[in-house]
Formats: sequence, structure tokens, C-alpha cells
Amino acid sequence: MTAQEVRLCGLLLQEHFGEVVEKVGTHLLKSGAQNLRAIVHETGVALDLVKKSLCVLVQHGACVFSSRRKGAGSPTEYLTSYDRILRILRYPRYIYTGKTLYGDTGELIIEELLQRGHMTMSSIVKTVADRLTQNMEEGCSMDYNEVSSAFSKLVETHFLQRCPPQKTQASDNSTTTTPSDPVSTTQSTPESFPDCYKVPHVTLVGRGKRPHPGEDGEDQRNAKRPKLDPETHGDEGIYWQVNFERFHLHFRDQAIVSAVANKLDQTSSEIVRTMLRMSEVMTSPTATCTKPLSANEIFRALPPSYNIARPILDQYLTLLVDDPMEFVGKAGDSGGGMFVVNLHRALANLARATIESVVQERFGSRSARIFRLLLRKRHLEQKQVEDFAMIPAKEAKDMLYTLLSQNLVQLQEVPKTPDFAPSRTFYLYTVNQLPTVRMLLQNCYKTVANLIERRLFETKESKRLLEKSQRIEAILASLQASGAEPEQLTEVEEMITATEKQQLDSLRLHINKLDSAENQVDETIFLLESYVNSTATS
Amino acid sequence: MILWEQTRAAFLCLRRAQGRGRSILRNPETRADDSCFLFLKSEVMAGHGRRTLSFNVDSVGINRGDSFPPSLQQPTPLFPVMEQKPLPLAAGEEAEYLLALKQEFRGAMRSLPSFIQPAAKHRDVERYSDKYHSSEQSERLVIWTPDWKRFPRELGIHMRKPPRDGVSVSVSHSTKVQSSQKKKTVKEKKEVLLKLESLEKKEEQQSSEEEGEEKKKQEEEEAEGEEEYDEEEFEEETDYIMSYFDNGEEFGGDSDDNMDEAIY
Amino acid sequence: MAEVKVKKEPNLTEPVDTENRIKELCQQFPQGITDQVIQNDMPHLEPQQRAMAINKLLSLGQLDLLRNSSGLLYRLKDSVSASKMKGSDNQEKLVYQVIEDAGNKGIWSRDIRFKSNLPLTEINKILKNLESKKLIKAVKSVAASKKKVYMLYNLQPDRSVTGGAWYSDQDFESEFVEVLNQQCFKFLQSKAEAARDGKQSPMVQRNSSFATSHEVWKYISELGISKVDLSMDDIETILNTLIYDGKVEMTVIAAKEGTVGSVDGQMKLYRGVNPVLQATGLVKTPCGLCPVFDDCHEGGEISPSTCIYMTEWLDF
Repeated sequence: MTAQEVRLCGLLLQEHFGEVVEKVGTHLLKSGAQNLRAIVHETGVALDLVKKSLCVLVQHGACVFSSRRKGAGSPTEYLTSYDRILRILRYPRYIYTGKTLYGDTGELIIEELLQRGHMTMSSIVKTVADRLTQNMEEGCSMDYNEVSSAFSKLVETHFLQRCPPQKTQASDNSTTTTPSDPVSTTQSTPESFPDCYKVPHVTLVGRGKRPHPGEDGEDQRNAKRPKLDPETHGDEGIYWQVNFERFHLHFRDQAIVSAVANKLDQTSSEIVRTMLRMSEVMTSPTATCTKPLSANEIFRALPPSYNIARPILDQYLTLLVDDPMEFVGKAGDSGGGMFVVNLHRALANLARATIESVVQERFGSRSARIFRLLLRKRHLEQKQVEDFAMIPAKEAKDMLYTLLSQNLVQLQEVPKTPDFAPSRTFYLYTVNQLPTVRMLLQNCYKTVANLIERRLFETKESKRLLEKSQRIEAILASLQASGAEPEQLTEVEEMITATEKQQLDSLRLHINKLDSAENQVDETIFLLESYVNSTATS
Repeated sequence: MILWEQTRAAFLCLRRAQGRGRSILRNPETRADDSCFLFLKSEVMAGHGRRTLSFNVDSVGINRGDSFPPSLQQPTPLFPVMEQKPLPLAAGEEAEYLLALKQEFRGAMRSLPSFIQPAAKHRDVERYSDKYHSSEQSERLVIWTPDWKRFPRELGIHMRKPPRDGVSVSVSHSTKVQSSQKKKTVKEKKEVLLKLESLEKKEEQQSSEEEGEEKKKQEEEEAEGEEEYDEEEFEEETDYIMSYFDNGEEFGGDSDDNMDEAIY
Repeated sequence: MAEVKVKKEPNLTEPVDTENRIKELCQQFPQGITDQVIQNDMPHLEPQQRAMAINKLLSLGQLDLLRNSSGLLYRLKDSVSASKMKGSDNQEKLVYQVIEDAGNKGIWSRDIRFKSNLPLTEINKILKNLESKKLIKAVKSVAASKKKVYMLYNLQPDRSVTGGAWYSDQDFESEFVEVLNQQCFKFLQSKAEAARDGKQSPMVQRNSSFATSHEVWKYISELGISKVDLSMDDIETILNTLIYDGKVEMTVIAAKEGTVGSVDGQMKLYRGVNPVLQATGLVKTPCGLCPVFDDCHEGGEISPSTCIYMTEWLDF
């Protein structure tokens, strides 16, 4: 893993779990698998804090533990994975998808799960019901059943999955494994367990609870502690987690549909969306293309609002196949024609468009022309580049050298004679998509880390002002609660000067911009990562 | 190839040096472009005085008589002018909503038990601001106890909460103790609970050597002493602590450290 | 009695008369005459006889042979230059002839040497001489900027020498190319839009959004923005740059021989296309475009905290 990845993971851990977890987590990222004593020794963090940090990391799926060697006395080793931590960047998108698919209930289920790492179905349902109830009108509350059914739908569509059962020393006394079996060092995937997507039978009857306003703090705290509730619901020990891969497939499909809409038109994109929807369940996550679908099937599956005639559908399909981007391929002639969506090719095209976009914005249209030219023609000599791109020699040279120094373009030597004499060698410029994508991906990680650090800096700079503002708000709140006069409130409000207010507003704007930018760079990261991963399996 | 590489490297050096305004040669008199020229000159020398170079200049793209890029008379600024500006960020409902989700999530995580505070300094003087900080603390949410079945045993620690008025002690998942003890005084309550728990645990415990060793190890480590533990007596040894992840009050949450960032 | 003037019929078999007549015609049309003109004047003349006369005049050095876009031109040899040549010796005449033969493509000194078998030093002397007499001129070839080709003084150099439409006096006309690039794109874009607005079936829509290279060429020629004549090949070169700009797509289809714009049984079709991706997230941040990105790290002189691009961007 690279320095940029470690840096970014560190920042994400720090922001969401605090400095201590950041220290422990970053150390583990760099050191690889280690046992508890070594971690304490090398980080200098107190034992109990290390233990807590490890618990947090394990709880959130960022760390796995195992015993290397079998037998008594083998220390448990902890291993952190950077890609799981990087997913934190994408949390808003997962939550938002929960909302678009299954409404507010879906949104809250995903949000709770991401906040807690993993939970049982019953606790999720109760917590979410409570939260929904709080936002409802007085006297209304959310029934557990509604939440349960949303939960079940999320499981059915594989957005949620069971956590793989853990074999820890605590459960050794059960007879599931013989003591001599080493616990596997590589976590088996959740999907290797047959019950992965099975909703347990739970008895969950009731409605969400609203904390009663006006009661003292103690009862309020009690109301927020479902753990005090002694009820059990039949699903103890069955924990659920968000299935990120499934969300990624969803995002991938979204990206493809959007690309088709941009390149062609709305109707074509709806056809592709239909095809993807039909293939959701039966296409493996690493498949190069969807299973073939017949035109007949597609026609029947089109949404009713798209009332196009059958021969017109055929035309659209033909056009999709003919398009140079090859979103759709023809796989046969039966059933009016068999068609597939070319998933990997679409990802490659999107990755290519992404890197072209970067070159264009950073270096200008003519450099972008050279870049695209080299992507198409693979290898070209200096002169050929000038001629094809119609850029005068001096400028073309400049641009090529700039791209070369940024490693966006490479130079290859092809000897004409075996002695590699320079005067008899071709010097060819070339662009290789995959290494270029990897490099830009690293730039993305660095960029997000830069954005976060700038945000922390801006906040730190205005720390005093922020503290003052919070203190004043706290004072206001307590004054209001104790029924103060309006004059008193105004007096307190005026403790913040107009300039300071302006500064605070400006700070808010800055922070929003930085946060929003992080979200949008993550879109780039997603496309590039998806492409890189697709090349690993194709 | 070496020659070509060197030429290219020299050229690139030249461009980079121009970009950073640093002389790439120690002699401040010699400017960056001279190094490139010197290199080519040496090339000519290598051709035994004949005015030939060992590579075909045309294919390299440098032509004889071409002037080198104009040399700079002063170092370039640290941040050169950026002609192209970044494109505007996407706006709209979705972007706004995603932004809100992100910031709310971050804020929520700070108040969860999974946000671990470093060991806090004890305050000698009670600050006025503490009154307001502690009210913020109390908004922190649920105490979380991990389901120890899913965690390595070694991660459990001995710990006892000091009694707090009016707060009932939470119990770990596996206990089935009813919460009807709310009425009793806290200390009594605690002792009863502890006793019950430890009895339960004793039943579940495997009496293996390994565990004994581990326990001993843990005890030793505990005994090394961390200031933030209260000097409560350890009545029983339990492997499962009762309130493991608290809302941080016991860990000196009165420090200012957590005020580093406003919750946006 | 009225005197009947008997027109003396030109003696068909007298070549001299033919030659003289041709010379007269040349004098009448100093810019040159084509074979057709001679034919019209003397329709009874056999092509063979015509050719013989022309050749005779050429070899005598009395007639100049030129070529323009429509064909061959015959011109009365400049008496001035004819007289100039009088003083030259045979070697000069030979070199001159060789250069003349090269027409408007020119010939470079080394090839003159091969063709005339004269030593290089002699050649150079002669060339200097002829140049000073303004009989020949040297033209820099765009193919190899150091090479010069020689041709007769008053000839218009061929495209291959000057670089064609894109070069004017050895300078690449970038602006001109850009203007053509934009105009071609506008044409294709509007064609695509018209196709979309037509609301036809998708297949018809797509097909009508295509334009052949010939169509584009015609449109550009009619625009009249070009000082020089542009060929269809030239237009295709421009259209290719649009492909590399990611704005245009090309397909090749089979075409019947003889269809307007077809070359070797094929036609190239071009259409404007939409980008598949709007700008990517990375380029909406200063870091995505930052010139000192590689030097930036927290704690350094160039860092996120000290970054002026960020400051500018945040306050924008």
C-alpha cells in the first residue's frame, strides 16, 4: 500500500474514531499483522486504549484477527485492511442510496449500521423506529413491522448481509471445530456462508419510542438505551453489516446508464437500465458482461412509461451495438436477437474518459488532443504526432515533454538495428491506460487527504472563534430553558460581533466546499477503482 | 539509449529547474539551460571533434540552431500562476444532501462510544467552561458493550466504573439480569450485579490453563497501573467488563481536547 | 470587277507555318495557351502535327512548357530570358534544363548533380549564377527544413514543397487550422441537431446526422474562408483532429464507384458526438490542476494549509 493511502486512511480514522484509533490503525496498516503486545510496544499507546481501538476497528470491519499457529499459546494477530477504511469516504453515497431505494427507513437503517459497524436485526429495527418516531408528528410513531419489512427488502436485494460467524476462543467449547484447527487467517467471504442473506425469524412487536421532553436527563438517557431492554427477539448472535460490493454494483450500473444517456439519448439509457435490472441477480460481480437477454424479453421488461414499438426497440438496440463505445454487444440471433451489456468495456471507456478529462483541464485542449491521439494510435513518432494533431512542431514538442515529465505519456525505444544505435532507433511516444489510471488514482487519494487537511487547518485557525460561538449557543440554550427575558437573550447574542459572524459564515462556506469536493473526488475514485478491479478479473 | 536518456533527462531537468527556479548546478553562475548545452557540447566532443552527434537530432526533436527555452532571470514563484481554474463543483439537491449526510455522520461518530479519547489530563482547577462542556458530554449516546463472542478474549479488560448517582449500571449482552434494581442504591446494586455476573461467568468459563495464563497476563498488565482507573478494589475477577465503552465521562472528558473541531 | 481576295490557305503540310502560327497565338495570349486553343485555331491540324510543332518550338527554346491545375500551357519564351541564356555556356544550359524539367516541384542540388553529372563545385557556381540572373530561385522545402529545392524563377511551387494549405511562407498556420476545425465542427453539430429535431425513427436520425467528407468539403469551400484551395484530403485531416478532440466520430461505408465523394469504393462519414462523461470530480478541485502537486506535503512550504490555490478557490 502506498504512502498516500496510509495518510488518507489515517485522516479518516482520526475524524471518525479519534486520534487513538488513528494511531493504532495506521500502525497496523504499515506493520502488517501483529499481536497485541507488539502493537502496544511499538505504538507506545496504553494497553487499554489499544484494546479499545482494536475492538472499534474489529467492530467496524476494518480489522480482522486470527491465530497464526494452532495450539495453545499462539498469540492472536490483528490485521487491518486499507481499502475497507477508504470506504468511509463513500458512506454518504451508501446512505443516500438507501434513501432512494427504500425511503427514509432505508436511509436510517444504512446509516445506523455504518455508524455501529454491525448490529442485530432487532436492535437496528428498534433504533431506527425510535429515530423515525422522533421526526414524526406528536402522537405518531413508527411500527416495528414497517422497519422490519424495509430491512428484509434490503437483505433480499443483498445490500445487507450477515457477518460471517466468528470462531473465537470464547466459543471453543462448542463443538463446531476441533481445537486443533487453526482459525483461518483469511476471512472467508460472507457469501461463503449459506445463510448470508437469510432474514432470521424475529419476534418484534411494538412501535418506536419517543423520548419524553421535559423529563430530567437521566430518564432521557434511559430511553436511549435499548440494551436495558431485557427482551430478546430470537436473533441473538446474528449480526448484519452493509454489503459494500452490492452498492458498488449499483453505482456501476448507474454510471453506465448515465454514460449512455450522455452519449446517446434518454431512451437508449432506459433500455440499458432495463437490461441491467434484468441481469442484477444472475450476473456475477466479476462478470465481463451480463448474461444474454433476448430482444423479446427486453421488450416485455421495459417500463410501461416507455411506450415504444417493437421495431423501434430493435433500432435502438442496433444503434447501441454499433456505437463505437460498444455499450451493448450482440450475442446471438434467437428471440429477436440476443444482447449483452459490456460491463468491463463500459468501465474501461469511463476510465478513459476520466483520464482524458484530467489531461484536458490540466493541460488544455491541444495537449488533450495529443493524449487522445496517442491512446488511439498506440505508438507514434514525434513527427507523426505533429502531423496528425496538426500542431506546429515547437508547440507539439513542448506539450509532449510536459506530458512526459508528468508521466502521462511514455517514450519507447524500438531499434531498427540490433546494435541499438540511437540514429537508427525509433523513438515512439505511447500512452498506457492502466498504469496511467493507477497513477491518477493515487493522485485522487492525495487530493482527498489534502482537502481534509485543509479543512482541519481552517477549523483550527478559527478554533477560538468556534469555541466562543459554541459557548454562546450553550448559554443561550440554558437561558431559554430557564425562561429568560428576551432582552437577556439578545444581550448574549450580541456577544458575537458582526465581523465574527461574517468570519463564521465564511468558515462554514469553506468547510462545505471542502466536504463537497471530497464527495466529488470520490466519484472519480470509484470509476478508476472499478476499472482497475475489472482488469484484475478479466 | 544512455545518450538519449541523458539528453531527455537533461531537457527535463531544465524544464523542472525552470519551474522551481532552483539552479541545478552548485555554481550559481551557471544557469540550468547551460547544463543542457554543456551536455550536448560534450556529446560533440565525444564525436572526436567532428561536428556530429551520436544520435539523430531530428528524431529527438532538438534541432541544431534551435534555441533552448528562454532562461529565467529569477526563481519562479513558489506557486506559479495557474491559468486553468478548477471546474465548478456539482450543485443541486443531491450534492447538498450528500454534503449534509457526510457532515452529520461525522458529527454523530464523534459522540459515539467508538470515538476514543486519549488519556486525559486531570484538571487542577475547575474551569467555568466545564459546566458547559459536561452538558455536552451528557448528550453522548449509548454505552456500548461489545458482544465478546465475536472478539478475542484478550481484548477484554478489567474495569470498574465508579458509582454515579442515579445511573444504573449497564450490563453486557449475555446477562439476563433484570433492571428492577434501579431503586437500590448504586453501590449495592453494583455489588449484587457483580456477584451475579461473576457467578454466571464462572459457569461459562472454561478452566483451561490457557485462560488462566491469559488472565494472569491481563492482571499483570492492569497492575502496571493506569492513572485513569479509580482505585476500586477488584472484588472478583471477571473476564467481561461491564461497561466497557462508556460515554467517556470517566476518562476525563472534561478536557478541552475534544473541542478541536466544531461539529459541522 | 471586285478583287477577290483569295485567302491563302495555310499549307497543311508546312510545319514551319504551324510553328509560326503557334508563336503568334502565344504573342496574342502572353499568359500562355493550351493545346485546346491551338486546336481551335487550327482545327484541321492533325494532333500529331500539332504535337510535332510544339515539340520543335520547345526544343528550339522558343516555347516554354508550363503546367497549371487544368493542364499544360505553352508560352512564348521570354525573349529577355532567352537573351540571358545566350551568354551561358552549355553547362549552364544543361543545369537550367534539368531544373526546368523538375517543374514546380523543384529539385535539389544533389539530384541536379546526378542528372547532369557535373561536379558539385561547378553546380554550385552555376546555381549562383542562374540565381543572380533571376532565372531560377531556391525554395525551402517543408519536408526537410534545411533542404532547398531549385525551380524556375516564375513558377508557383507545388504543395508538397510549401507544405500545402497549412503553410504560408514556411509558417504553420495554426490559427487557420483552428478556425477550420471550429467551422467543420459547427457544421457537423448543426447537422446532428437537425437530425434530432426531425424526430424521426432513431435509425433515420442517426443516419441523417452523418455528413460525408465531401459534404463538409463543399460547405467549407463555399464559406470562402480559405485563401488557398483545400482538397477533400485536407478537410479529412481537419476532421481527424476533431476525432482526436473527442468531438467527432467517423465511420467508413462502401460506396459505388463514381458516387460523389467516394474514394476507392469507400466513403468516410463523420458526425458530431456528445461526450460520455462530463468533467470528472478530480478536476473540480485545485489539486487536480495544481502545477506543484508533486511537491506538496503537509509541513512543507507547499502544503494544503499554505496553498494559495485553495485559498483562492475557497473564496471564489
